[in-house]
Amino acid sequence: MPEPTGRPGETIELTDVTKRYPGQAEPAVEAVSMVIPAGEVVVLVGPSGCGKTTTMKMINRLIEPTSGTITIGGTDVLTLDPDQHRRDIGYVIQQIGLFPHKRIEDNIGLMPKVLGWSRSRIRARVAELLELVGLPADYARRYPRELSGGQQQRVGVARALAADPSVMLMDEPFGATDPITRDHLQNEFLRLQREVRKTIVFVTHDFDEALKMGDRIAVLRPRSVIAQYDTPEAILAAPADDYVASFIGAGGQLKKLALLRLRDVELAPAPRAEGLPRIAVEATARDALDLMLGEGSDVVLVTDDFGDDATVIGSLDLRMVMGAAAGEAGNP
Amino acid sequence: MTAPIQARRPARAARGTGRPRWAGLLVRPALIVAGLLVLWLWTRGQRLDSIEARNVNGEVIGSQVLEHVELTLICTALTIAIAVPLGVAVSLSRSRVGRVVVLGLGNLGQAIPSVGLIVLLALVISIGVGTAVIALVAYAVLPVLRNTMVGIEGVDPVLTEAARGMGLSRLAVLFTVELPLAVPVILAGVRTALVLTVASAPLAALIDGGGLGEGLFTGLSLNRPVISVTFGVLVAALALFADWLGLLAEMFLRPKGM
Repeated sequence: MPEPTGRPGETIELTDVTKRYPGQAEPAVEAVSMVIPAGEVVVLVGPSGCGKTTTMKMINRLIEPTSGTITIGGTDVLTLDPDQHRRDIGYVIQQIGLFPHKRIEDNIGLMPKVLGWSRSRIRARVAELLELVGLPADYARRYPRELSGGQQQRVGVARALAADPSVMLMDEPFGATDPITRDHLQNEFLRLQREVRKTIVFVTHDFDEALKMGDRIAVLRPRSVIAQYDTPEAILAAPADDYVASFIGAGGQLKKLALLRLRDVELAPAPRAEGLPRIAVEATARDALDLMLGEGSDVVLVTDDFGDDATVIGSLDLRMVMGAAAGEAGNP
Repeated sequence: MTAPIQARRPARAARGTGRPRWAGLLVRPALIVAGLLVLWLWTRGQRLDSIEARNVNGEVIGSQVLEHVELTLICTALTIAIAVPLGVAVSLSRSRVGRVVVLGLGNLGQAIPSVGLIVLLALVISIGVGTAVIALVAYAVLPVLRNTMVGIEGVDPVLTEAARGMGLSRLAVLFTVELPLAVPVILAGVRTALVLTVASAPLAALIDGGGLGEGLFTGLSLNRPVISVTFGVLVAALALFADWLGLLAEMFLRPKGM
């Protein structure tokens, strides 16, 4: 694993956090307690109105909790000045919220400027972040309306990272993009997170997105009550109850295979047979199964990279795929 | 016709600095100059009696135009200085009562006929430029006030939430996000106020406040159409010119990237 660039993530701890709005019989969030480990992506998933966004916004105090404590890296956030506190937390929202009258460089550089960074340092930081999120350097001079939705959300992520926060809050960040762009942004984001290793709270209502993005998933009931809080593999293997199972829906075993990278599977030596379908080691067990079904072959060759000239490093057959799924289930 | 089909302009050029808009911008001043030229030719062709000659001459016209412009500028500056901060304060307080009271007062200022307001204030306070300024400002505050409130309240709440979420203070959000984005709406209000003031300023002459109203009312009371037409046309030309300046301000001061 590469060393994290910039400030690494800090642990977030919620203890009995409750939000009650005046005039409402039931609390919006009721006594949530959870530990979000440093450097991990924790996804809050649940139906609309279950309080997941409210829970997230209490962490950066856009919503003040009625009772309970929230600590980040051991510091009680309720004792901090809210504005100072938010400067240490990146915030990405579904609607992106780029300022239309500011160029991309000024959107990204806004908080560094407020924090009193020098011009040259801000310029260098903007260039670094644009590269990190995969945008050309000359986009710095553009206005938000000159970018596509997917590009705008990359800028949104870059802006959230600008002052190098230890924690990022992301509220359905890829919810408004088309499926292809979303998939792309998700992959980019996972790559990015491997570099920056922030502590990330990610809110979504899409369970498949939660499976893909989360190191851990908290499945929430109404009032943000935690139904199950575990790794994606463990939740798929043993949903706590029918409510959690209803999120997994049909095809739970297939979803489990989609989490399993071939690089984590013990491969068989490559047979000398010609003309077998080939798949890269970066792909998942589900991709391998899909290829077997599509090609009508119960064996595939695994290569070290994409492309035709990649080296074959082993093979995989149908029985091994099924075994891998079962093995994962018994050994999360 | 074999005129080439013009390609659709990219978003950048379509934003209002393209050449066709420039040409269009020059129409108004050209018409104003043409109107004034006609006025000059027409008065030159008239045989002026001594009263007319004393009023329709370069020196008198020049000093009255200057007074008129001064009066307008002072009033507009005061209007902005009062209405913009007040509108911001009311928007930020999110107070319903404040909103109703402020808009009510603004409406009241505008609902009273300006002649009535000026004469009433002269009776209550005294005659003179100061009173005229108060009356004209009271009359012009409403459009700027209302547009400031509408402009700030019209800023997408997503943007203010994003700004708050990244750690900007309430005041910083106002100055970096809300006010810049409200500028086009506020400027539209200022333009209305400016024209309103230019066009109402002749009434200042009723209470010895100076301006082009002096010549206008002299012409009317002494039954000298040459005088009243001359000054009437001058007021109209000035109002059109002020509106044109407002248009320029709207074009050049609006935030870029929108």
